Amino acid sequence: MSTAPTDAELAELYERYAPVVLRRARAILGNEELAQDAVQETFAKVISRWEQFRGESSPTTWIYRITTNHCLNQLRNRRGRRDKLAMRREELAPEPVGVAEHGVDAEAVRGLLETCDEETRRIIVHLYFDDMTREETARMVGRSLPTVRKRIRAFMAHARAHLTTIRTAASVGIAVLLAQLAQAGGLA
Amino acid sequence: MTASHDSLLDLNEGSRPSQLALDLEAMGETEVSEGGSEARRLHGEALESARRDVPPLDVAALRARAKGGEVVQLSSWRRPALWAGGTMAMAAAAALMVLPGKPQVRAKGGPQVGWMVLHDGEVTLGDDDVQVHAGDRLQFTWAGQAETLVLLGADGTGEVRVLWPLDASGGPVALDAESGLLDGSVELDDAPGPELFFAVFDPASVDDAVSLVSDALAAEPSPGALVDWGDDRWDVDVLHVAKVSSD
Repeated sequence: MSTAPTDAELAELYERYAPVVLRRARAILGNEELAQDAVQETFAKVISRWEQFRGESSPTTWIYRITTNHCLNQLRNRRGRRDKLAMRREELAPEPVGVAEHGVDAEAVRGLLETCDEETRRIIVHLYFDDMTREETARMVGRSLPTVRKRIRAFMAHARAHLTTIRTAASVGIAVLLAQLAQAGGLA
Repeated sequence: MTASHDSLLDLNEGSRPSQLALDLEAMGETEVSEGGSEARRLHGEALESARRDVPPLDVAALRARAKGGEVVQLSSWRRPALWAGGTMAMAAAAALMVLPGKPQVRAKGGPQVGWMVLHDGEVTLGDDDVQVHAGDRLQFTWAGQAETLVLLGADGTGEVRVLWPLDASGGPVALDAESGLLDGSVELDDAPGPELFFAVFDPASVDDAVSLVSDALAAEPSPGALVDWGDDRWDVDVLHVAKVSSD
C-alpha cells in the first residue's frame, strides 16, 4: 500500500469530502476563513496519515474526528482574543450577546466551549453542532452513555451559571454607563 | 435548530437524523433512511453551499502542509521553519521514526516525550549522551496513548514554565494521534544548571499540571530523583537534559 495518495486520488477525495468538512467546520467555528482553513488542515492530515485513512471502514467518520480536533483547537485559540475583547467591553457596557429567549445560540455555545475541559467540548460539539443523539455521541467519543450524560449535566449547570453571570454583568455595566453619562450631562 | 424551555441545547432525542448520519448517507456509506425530511433538506442546502465555496485544491500546498504541520509562534518558541534549511524536516522525520528519543535507554510505562536539538545549524536527536548549550533550540515529540499533553520546563532556578500548549490559557490541547511532533521549539537561555522538562499527560487542567510539577520540584530537588519520580508514574515523563556552561 502506498504511503501517500497520488494527485488523482487526492483530487477525487477532495471533491468528494471537502464540502462535508467545510459545511461542518462552518457550523462549529462560525467563521468562514477558519472553516476554509479547516478544510486545508483536514486534507493535510489525510495525506500525512494516508495509511490510517485507507484502513478506515468509514472515511467520513475518520474525517469527522480530524475536523473535530482541529476545530476544537481553533476554538481554544480564540479564547485569548476574546479575553482581550471582553476587557475592552467591560469598560463600556457588556451585552448579553448570544442568549436567546429560550436557549443559547451557536456563538454562545462556542463561548461556553472555551471554558470547558477537552472531553466535554468534544461531546458538546457532537451533540449541538452535529445534532447527534447521546448514544451516537457516546460511540463517537468512545465513552459510556452514563459518562456522556454526566458530562452533559455538568455542562448544562456550567452554562446556566455562566449565562447568569453574563446577564448580571450586562445589567451592572449598563447601569454604570448610564450613571456616568448622567454625571457628564449626557442624559437630560 | 430550535430550543425548548427545558433544554439549553435542544438535544436530539432520536426524532431526526444527525448531521453525521446525513453526511454518511450523502457519501454513500449508509443507506438513505426514512423520515427527517426537514433536517435532510437543511443539510442538503448547507452541503450544496459548501460545495460551491470549497477552496480550490492546491496539491503542492497541501503536501507541504502535511509535511511541516502548522506552527503557531509564541515569544519563547520559534517556528521550526527557522531551523536550518531542510535539516528540520529531516530531523523531524527521523525523530518520528524513533519516537520518542529515549525509550531505547529507559524502561517506562505510559506515554513519553522525546526531543531533538538544533546546535550550530545541526540537528541531533536527543539522548542521554547529548549535551545542549545556551542558545540551542529544542523541539519535542510524543508517543503513546494519551488524549492531552502539557509540557513544562524548569531550569536551575526552579521556575516552572508552560511550554505547550502554546496558549496555556485555553487548557490542555487534544493530541490527535498516538505520536507526533509538538509545534514550535524552545530556545535555551543561559541560566545555570540542567534543563528539566516535564510532560504531563491527561491533566485535568494546565494549572493542575503546573501544581503537580511544582510540588515534585519542591519535594525532590535533584534531577535524578525527579526522573525516577516520573518513571514511577504513568502520567508524567521527565526529561533531564544536561546543559554545558558557556563559560
